[in-house]
Amino acid sequence: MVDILSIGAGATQLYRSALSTVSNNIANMNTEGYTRQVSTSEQNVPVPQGGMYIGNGSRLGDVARAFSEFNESNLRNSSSELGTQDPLIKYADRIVDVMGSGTSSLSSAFDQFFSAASNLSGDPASRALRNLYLRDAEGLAARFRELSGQLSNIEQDTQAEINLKLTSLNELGKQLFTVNQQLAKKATLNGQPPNLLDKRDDILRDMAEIAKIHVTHSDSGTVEVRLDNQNGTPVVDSLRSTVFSATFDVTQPGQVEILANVYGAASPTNSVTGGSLGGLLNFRSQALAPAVTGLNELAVITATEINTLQTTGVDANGERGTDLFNVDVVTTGAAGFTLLQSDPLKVAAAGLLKITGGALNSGVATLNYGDIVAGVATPAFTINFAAETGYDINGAAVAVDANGGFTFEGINYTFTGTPADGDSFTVGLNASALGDNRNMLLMARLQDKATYADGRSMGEGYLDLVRKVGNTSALAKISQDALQAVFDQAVMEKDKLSGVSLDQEAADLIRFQQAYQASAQIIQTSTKMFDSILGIR
Amino acid sequence: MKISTSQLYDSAITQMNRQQSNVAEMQAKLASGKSLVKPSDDAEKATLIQRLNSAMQRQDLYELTLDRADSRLRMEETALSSAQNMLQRIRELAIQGSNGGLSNTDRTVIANEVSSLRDALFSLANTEDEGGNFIFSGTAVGTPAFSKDADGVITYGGDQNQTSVDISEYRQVELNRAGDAVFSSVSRTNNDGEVNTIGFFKVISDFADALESGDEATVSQGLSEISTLTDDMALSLADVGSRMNTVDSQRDILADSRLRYQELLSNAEDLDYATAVTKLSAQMLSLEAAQASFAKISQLNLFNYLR
Repeated sequence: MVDILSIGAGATQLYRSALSTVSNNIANMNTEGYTRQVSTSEQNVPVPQGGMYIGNGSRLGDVARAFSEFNESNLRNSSSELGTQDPLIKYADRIVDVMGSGTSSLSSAFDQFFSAASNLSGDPASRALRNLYLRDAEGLAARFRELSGQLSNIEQDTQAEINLKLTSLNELGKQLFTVNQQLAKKATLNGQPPNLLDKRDDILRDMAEIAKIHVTHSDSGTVEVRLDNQNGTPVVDSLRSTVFSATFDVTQPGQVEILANVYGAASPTNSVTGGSLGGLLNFRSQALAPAVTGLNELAVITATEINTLQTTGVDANGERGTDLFNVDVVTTGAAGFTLLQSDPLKVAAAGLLKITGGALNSGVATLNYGDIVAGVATPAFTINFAAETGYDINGAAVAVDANGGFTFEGINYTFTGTPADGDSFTVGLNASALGDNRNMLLMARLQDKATYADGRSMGEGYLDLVRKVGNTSALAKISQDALQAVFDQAVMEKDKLSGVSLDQEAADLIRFQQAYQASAQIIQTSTKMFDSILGIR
Repeated sequence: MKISTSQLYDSAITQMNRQQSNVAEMQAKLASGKSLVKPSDDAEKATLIQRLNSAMQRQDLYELTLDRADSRLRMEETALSSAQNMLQRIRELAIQGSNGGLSNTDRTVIANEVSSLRDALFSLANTEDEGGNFIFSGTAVGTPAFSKDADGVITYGGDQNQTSVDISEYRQVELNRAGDAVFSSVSRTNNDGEVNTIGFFKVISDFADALESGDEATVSQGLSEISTLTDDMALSLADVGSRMNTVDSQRDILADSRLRYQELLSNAEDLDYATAVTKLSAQMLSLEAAQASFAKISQLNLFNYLR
């Protein structure tokens, strides 16, 4: 026999629960990571009555999270991919802003230095211009050091951020391991408290922001997490959570080793991809390392080229020049770029050699010398020409090359015009030529000289460096725009199912409230029915 | 499709933030007048601007070099034209002196004037620039171009080197000429048939001596030698003039290329105000629309009707 009263009582209970679920949804509308809960009702077992079945009311079947593992993993993966771009853009832009700005770039320092050289070439005897030249040489050296310092600041900052990310990852791993332990107490997902599952998904989302993860679910809702894919380094499994750490090589910013301590001993892992951690690693290898290497290479080229000219010229004291910049730059990089000279008279503005025709020369020929390689000793000799025997130096015959010139002690000489019989030329240090600007002209022209092996000038090489870092950031910005759309889509998909909509809850509220009222009416009806039986007299 | 309430708020906030930052960025551009607020906005363009700035600076530098070359050449020209005037005067005196009907006194007077002109030329040949450097010493600017020893013999102390400067990427101009090329020498054949090179000042001294002693053959030889020196000086002057012309013509070329670079730089660097202002009003409009629509949409809620 069906009991209307108990149907009514069951239904009010059911709808009271449904209403509290709706209320809970509304209350948690703004709770981060909250998954909307849905109550479902089930029919009670009908009562057989004379070959028929009479329905026996309903009861609360289940309060479940509106959750899809597919949506969730989609969201995690897209957040990993999106998160990769941000540090790449942030730090690469910092490099571009430092290296590409008109005031702090190397370009303006180069411009200043070569302007000073050009000015000095106009008046090599001027002490004031020599002073300005040294000042701008110091400016160039200081700019190299500053840029190197800025890059090393960025290196330090990313190092700190990588360590911070690893600390959070370790912390999240620990938390997840604890959640796993609690979840393991129940055998099935249905029995798990929804807030614990929300907590689990929150942790997983936070992990995915740091690095791309692969998640395997068990029946009870516990999860196993690995980096990147199912073969990646374990982050959390049923037995432990992994402790990650990193080692850095200051001279090789692109080489960061992420160590995973899974089984009690730290060993390197290469399965960190995506996420902000992956982005930081990408930045260091794709933008920072080339910038640092490029700047150091440029420092070596600059110091070498300028020193070569300075040491193959003659200073205002009539002595051969000595290095202008520290040659240690080869080992120290741009950070060790320092000016060695402070005496303006030591600036080698004059050409190395003075070539004087013999007093009795009757020919119209003059003798000129070509480029001088660094380290070549200053020559001192007299070359004689005799119509019959050709050229000789100290009696030793000199071979004439294809251009009619000759090479002696590492320097190539050429004649303009033809020497006459008995002509001689004396070659020696250009000792008293304060007004000679030949070397300084070469210095000023160094600005356009193809000093890189591939034919670029120093200024071009520098701008290429800036452009390369800029390209990395520009590409990342394009990717970010695309990935943002993918991520937004994933958020929407997840929200469509798991998010709380006030309109929906309001409708449910009305629906369940009315159902509750109707159920209460059932109870009243049964009371009246009972009363009418009792009222029979 | 269901849109959750918090997402409605979140996406509205994101949208409005994005619009707001667009407006702020455009405002910064308008305030600075530059198309790039910071280099990272467009690294490619930033490097182009740097390259153009370098090129512009190079043009300024050539301008400076041209100014310096011009003043240097002007100094040389002034010295040379005074020297030429003096040589002209000596030549006139030589013509007077070679006139047979002169008395001893007349010749002595002429000889004295020639000697004093020679001394004036000597000091002219040792002209110094504003930095105290001798302009006719070649590159040995610290050494006087000509010096006189105890016997009054004047010799050249400079070297033969010329200093040239770059006045464009492809063009150079020589700043100076060696003193012994300007104050040139002559070849003289002596009685034994030997050819000797006789220096500038010795030619004039010999001429003055010959006038005083009345050696007519030497006086007439002097006249022809002085004519040669005068011609050489005229050539030197013409040479300086042609170098000054080079400087002037390069100045015109420089003005053109400077204008061209300025235009390129302005194209790369400066903001197109018309476009920027239009863009700004479009951005402000869409920000206002986002704000107004959010204010309206957020009112829409079923709870409003539950009373």
